[in-house]
Amino acid sequence: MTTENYWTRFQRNRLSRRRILSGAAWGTAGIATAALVGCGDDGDDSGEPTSASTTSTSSSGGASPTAEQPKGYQTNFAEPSTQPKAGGTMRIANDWDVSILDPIKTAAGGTIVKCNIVYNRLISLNTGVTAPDDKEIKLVSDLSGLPEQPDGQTFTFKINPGIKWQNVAPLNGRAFKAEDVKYAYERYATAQGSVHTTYFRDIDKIEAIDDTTLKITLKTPNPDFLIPLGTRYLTIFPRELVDAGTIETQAVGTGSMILKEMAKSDHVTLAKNPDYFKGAAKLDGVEFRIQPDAASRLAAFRAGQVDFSYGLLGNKRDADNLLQTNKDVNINISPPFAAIFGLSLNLDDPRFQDERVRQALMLGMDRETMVQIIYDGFGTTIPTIPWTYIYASQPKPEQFGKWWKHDPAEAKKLLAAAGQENLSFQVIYHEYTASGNTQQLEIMSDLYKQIGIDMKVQRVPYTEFNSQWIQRTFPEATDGWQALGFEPNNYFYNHIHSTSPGNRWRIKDSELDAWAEKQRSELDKNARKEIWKQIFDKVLDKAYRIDKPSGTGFTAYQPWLHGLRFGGPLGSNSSYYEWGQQMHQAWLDKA
Amino acid sequence: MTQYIVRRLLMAVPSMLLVSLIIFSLVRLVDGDVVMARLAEGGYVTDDQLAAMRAELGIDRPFVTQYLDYMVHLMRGDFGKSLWDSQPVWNQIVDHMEVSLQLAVMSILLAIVIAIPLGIISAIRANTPLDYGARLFAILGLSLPDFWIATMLILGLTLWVGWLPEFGYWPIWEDPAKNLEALIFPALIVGYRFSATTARMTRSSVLEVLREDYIRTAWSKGMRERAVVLNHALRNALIPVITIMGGQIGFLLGGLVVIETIFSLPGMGRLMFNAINQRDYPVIQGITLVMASIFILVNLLVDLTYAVIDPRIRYS
Repeated sequence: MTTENYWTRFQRNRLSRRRILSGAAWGTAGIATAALVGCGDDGDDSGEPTSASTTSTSSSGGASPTAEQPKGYQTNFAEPSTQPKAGGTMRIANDWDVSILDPIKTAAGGTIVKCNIVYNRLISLNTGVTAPDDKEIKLVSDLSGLPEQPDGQTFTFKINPGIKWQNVAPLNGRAFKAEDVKYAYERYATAQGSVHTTYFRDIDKIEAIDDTTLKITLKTPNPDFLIPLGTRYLTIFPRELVDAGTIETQAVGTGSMILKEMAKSDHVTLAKNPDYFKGAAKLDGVEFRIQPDAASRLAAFRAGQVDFSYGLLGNKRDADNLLQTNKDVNINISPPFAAIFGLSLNLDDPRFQDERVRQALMLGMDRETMVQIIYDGFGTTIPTIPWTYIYASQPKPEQFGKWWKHDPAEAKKLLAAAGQENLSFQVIYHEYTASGNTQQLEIMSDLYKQIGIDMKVQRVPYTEFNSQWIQRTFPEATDGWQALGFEPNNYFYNHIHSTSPGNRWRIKDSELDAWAEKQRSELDKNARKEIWKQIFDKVLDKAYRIDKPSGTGFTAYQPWLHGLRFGGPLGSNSSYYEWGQQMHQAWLDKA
Repeated sequence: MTQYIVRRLLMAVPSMLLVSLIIFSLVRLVDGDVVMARLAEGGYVTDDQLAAMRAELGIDRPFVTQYLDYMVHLMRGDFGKSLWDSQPVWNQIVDHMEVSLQLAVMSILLAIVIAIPLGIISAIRANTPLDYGARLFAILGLSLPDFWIATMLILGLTLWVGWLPEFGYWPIWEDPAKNLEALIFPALIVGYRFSATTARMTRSSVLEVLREDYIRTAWSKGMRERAVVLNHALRNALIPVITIMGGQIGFLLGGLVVIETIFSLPGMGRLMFNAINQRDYPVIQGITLVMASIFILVNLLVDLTYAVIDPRIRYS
């Protein structure tokens, strides 16, 4: 059979290359996925819709167990029972570089990660060693406790006691006040150049009632309002740095680590804040070593030069290779529960406005086989909208509608009916996941040839790709990522509403628009969930997005690194960003 | 001589202007800008917000306005500020230049130490096993990409030796031992590549000179081989070698991008690479102008060296 021949050849070639490089490259896998992929847990796979009571607004990521994964790797290894040791500097090999530090002006990882270590958030999402076990997004206390909510429009936060800004000029350890939160949020909401204004569009007013009380009133009820406040994007920075004009180059926060030095292309160092309100960190400091080359990071990790490294493992084979040389390394897996990348069509193109063409593209893809070939079974086939909003456990593929299966004959019929028997189009893409994007597209291209479609693929550089994807200027099709958010509105409004800038697929469906608007202000959990199911099913039925398979995330930890863990629902505890929230708990057990 | 130098430097001005105009145009032709790079995978922004961000950075102004503004600042010695991190471009170039210059100097010295003796031996023992070995060494240096050599070296050290030089950079005046540890392998790899061309050029040049009448005369006078080769042949063979080396220095600086990335060295190559990814126009423009200046100065130095090597050459 042609398919088998191609894949046999593909597999053989791929293994040859791997032998030659002997595990040297591949490393960048997971950089984007680490940033974008959400994680779940294992458990039953009944695939039944959840009862309304199991998913709440604040637990919208709420996942029950994901699909059964092949054996051999676990989702969360155990912490040692010994007493944590104090001292030492944690060294992390990372791929980002020094950038501006103003949190309102960028969402890029290199900025976010530093801000998240130096600054805190008003409230936070659960992180740390328990997070990978979470079945849903959990809001937890940070600078304040969780708010009182007498109705869906008023939120009263009490600032936690004993919080001081770091003892660094110009803050010099002054007390943290509710007014600081008000200032930061208003700047996020209104300052020119802010990329986070949409989070605040529903706010009517923010009031600092006194030094320890903050009240936020919304114009209209928004059941998702609290979740963004707990995310990495909305850290609380001081007015003093803005007034001094140094907010882009200096960071003085309330966090567990004080920023000491940033040397572009070389390193970023931080030292512990002895006055941290949650207790001083066990580590003396942290050193981020900027190492853009994945093979170098892997070598440094293997040689024990670093305690953690970004983007080491792209798949199971990388993990197996690492364990061959470093047997004591701990490895966690994070099964995805939303497709991150998908074949994204320009829906303004008349050819793709015909749903039969899109449905044929869905039927032409053999997802299960792709998971086996590309991910050695450590992957899954799920839609872009997290199933966790709808189901208690990962549904079977047939529950994703009639276009989810592989049926070339039916695909050909649909193409013929649409008059597109010889459909030809070009896909631009960027290689985010250490050959994962390329492999997927190569296989898809071959599969589509079998149904008469000529899909040409063109790899482009990162910024060029993002420019076309974010601004929605790609001509025909692209291998687009979905922006993960932690609140349901991200998936049931931002991604699909025809006026949303997050609708990069250019979906224009008045029924979806109406549902998207309705669910946004629906406070009844059952009713809201019903709307989500309608949206979920219709997006799949109309094949607005050609969802591709997703690989399981693999993360490696040196055996002496403890008190630190990544993984959790919807990328809420990503190794790319979420260092600050758990840095004070991390420790090293090294001689 | 002074007149010649001044004239050459004055002739460099239009070249630099042309370089500035070309690079200023080219970077803006590439799809994507710093606003896109900043947004990366996060944030939802409207077209109006995107326009406001571009206006704030001044990259929405007409091309001519931007160029003239840039040139006015450049005339005052102001290379501008990075669009990515708001730091002065000149400071960034100076910070990163230190690493690249040290690496370039070490590589060139290693290349000279390897290439000149190798080329001479290859020439005076032409078509012997020694010559074949030297030529194979040079051809491998030309053929194997430096990123491949670097990756294999790192892999080999990690997997089979169990030791790896620490990645990163330590200034020589702070920690000479670590500085050497960090730079020796990159310098060896770059130097090897550099030496390959130089060795081949030295071989052919020395071979050609060895066939000259004055060399035959030297032999007939009973001079020793060492004196013939070093005093008579090599000196006359060096001019084309130096010309080639001078031209290669520009490529060497440009080629450091890969090696600096693999060995995590914060040099000019890394700065340029990041700036291109981030569409940081002022940094790209600044580095290009500095590189072009170095290229022009090195070529001037090469021309002046001719006079030192061959007293018959005079500049006026």
